[in-house]
Amino acid sequence: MPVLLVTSDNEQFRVEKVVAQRSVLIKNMLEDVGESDQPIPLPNVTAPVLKKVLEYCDHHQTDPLPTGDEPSADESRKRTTDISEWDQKFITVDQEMLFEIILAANYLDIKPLLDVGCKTVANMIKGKSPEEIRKLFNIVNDFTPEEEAQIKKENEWAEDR
Amino acid sequence: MPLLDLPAELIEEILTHLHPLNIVLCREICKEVLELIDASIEIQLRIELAIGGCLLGERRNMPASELIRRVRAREQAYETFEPQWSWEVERISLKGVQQFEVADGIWGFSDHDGEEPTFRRLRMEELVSPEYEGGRWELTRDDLGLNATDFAYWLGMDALILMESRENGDVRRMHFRKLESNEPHPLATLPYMDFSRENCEVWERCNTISYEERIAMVFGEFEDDVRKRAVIVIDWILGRVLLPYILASDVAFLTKDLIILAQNTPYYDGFMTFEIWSLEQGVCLGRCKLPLPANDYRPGFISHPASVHSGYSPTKHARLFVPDPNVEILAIIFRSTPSEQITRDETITVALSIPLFIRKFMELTKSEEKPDANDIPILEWDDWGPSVTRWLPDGIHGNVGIRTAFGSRMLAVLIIPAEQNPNGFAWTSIVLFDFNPRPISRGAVADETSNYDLEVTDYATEWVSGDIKVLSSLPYRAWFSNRRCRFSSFFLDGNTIIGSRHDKYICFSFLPRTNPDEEEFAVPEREL
Repeated sequence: MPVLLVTSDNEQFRVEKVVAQRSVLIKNMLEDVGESDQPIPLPNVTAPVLKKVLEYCDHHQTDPLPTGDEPSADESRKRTTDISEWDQKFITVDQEMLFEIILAANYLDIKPLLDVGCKTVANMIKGKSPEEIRKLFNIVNDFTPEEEAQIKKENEWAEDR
Repeated sequence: MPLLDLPAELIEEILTHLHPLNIVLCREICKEVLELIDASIEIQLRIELAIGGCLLGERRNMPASELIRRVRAREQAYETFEPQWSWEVERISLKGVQQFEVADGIWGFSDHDGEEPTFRRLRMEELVSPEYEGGRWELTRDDLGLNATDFAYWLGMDALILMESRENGDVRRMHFRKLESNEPHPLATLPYMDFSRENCEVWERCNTISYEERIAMVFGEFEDDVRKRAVIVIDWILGRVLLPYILASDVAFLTKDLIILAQNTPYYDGFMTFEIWSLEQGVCLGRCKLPLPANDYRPGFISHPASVHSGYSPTKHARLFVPDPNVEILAIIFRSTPSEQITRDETITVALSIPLFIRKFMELTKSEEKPDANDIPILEWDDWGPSVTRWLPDGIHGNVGIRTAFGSRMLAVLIIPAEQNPNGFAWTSIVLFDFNPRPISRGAVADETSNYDLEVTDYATEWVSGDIKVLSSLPYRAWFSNRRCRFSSFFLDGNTIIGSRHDKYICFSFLPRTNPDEEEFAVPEREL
């Protein structure tokens, strides 16, 4: 049975229930309203982002759903290994879209997608110097030289170990 | 949308995917990130754990505030060399070749009929006091349905590996099972793999050590007092041999891909060598010369099974904290072989930092000019060794059990012979070593209490024996107990020391005592 989703910019998406239910938020909403063909409003997601998120949900529609706090051994193995090839390709987007996906995954409660997004940003940070990180994400260094020297000193033990 | 426009909890979530030391360096980015990192209990928890050489394991639903309390209590227990509780385990097999394993916070051991080499029972216990509700498993020979001679496990994957001897010992069968159901493991390509004696020079005893789905089989036998060993490495998920049968004095996993083989065949100017093999590539990446004559010493490794990346484990307590591979060590024991040059019985204990060694090795083998692609680089001791190892002083014996190195720590004993002790009797006491450099670079200092002397060694020392002089500088701290050692051998895991007496084992746990309601069950405090 298809479900109707409405984005913040008022676009409608008709998707299969099994795909929409990758979102725990939508799953709970559907359970609350019961059998109904009422559209589900998603006021925090725009159409381009939802399109992308649904692409992920569609690809992963047969994955086992997370069952709570105790993952099975197999899930745990998947969780801890690196991002899969498909996910890697899927998440190769510009920074703007990447952060939008993370926000949407958080709002829609799609834990595996949130993990893929956060891991991707973490991988961008990994191994870079603070200056390189600032440049990459357009962050202004708001420390005075004295403050910066002080923090560097505090951090010394963690360098290269 | 800029990164810092994300809600704080999502930035925190992103940061928790980084290694904690990497998060520390992110404090330098800008004020907002600095404040976020310093205010986040989730992140502080990880940083405090990393200082102690650990990563966060399976936390269940435990909140960060409770976890951080436990992290600090555990750290305090280690820093003051005071286990928080202890309990006894009856020794069931007094004779014969009992098999042991310590991994995933679980201690496993076999029980035999007399000196029979096959198991009557296999027991596995989570390393927590029996009064706490921990995991316990017991499998009899009937449950197993086979005559097992050795075992290994990876509880994060519910995997139990059993060695069976078949056809009068000519075939060794390795079974890959689920611990909970004893069925073939669903991830294993084959339910078992057979290995035949044919063309194998050394075959008699076979022990296993695992690194997640990789298993090293170590065969060993004595021939005219000379110990010979051989190695096979397999991957049980793939159902494939990664390293075919090869003669070597010993083997250990450095990572899931890299293994180290000790060779005491005197190929290179008569010196002993370590070979580094990549299992993925199936090739030897390089040989490292040691400053010891191959004929005079017998090398052996003390390592532990690794399953760093499994988040799921049936344990309730002991898997909260897992060792950080970035501070792990491999302990190496060199035992003198009787010869004309060496008359005294000498045991040398050396610690090697796995991450520092790998970095050094990769650096040196990359720069090494290889005229022929088949040429294997040979590294000189002075180039690779001194900064990544520590040769422990005379009197320190690390040869006190099969699994006495875990994470950055190692157990040893200090032996003072009667003639050197002012009291006139021989003295043996426990020494706990920690090769984690982080507390040292944060300013940890030497200390002395009524229970122990804590030494901090962050300078180079020289180890001397006859004409051989070896310089080494891997930093370490050592807690020298002031009490006499009353144990014949030891095991060590991330949170526990197990001491062996003639009739029982005594477990000393550095995990904090937890629920006060359970205090009535508490075993009386015991001195280690």
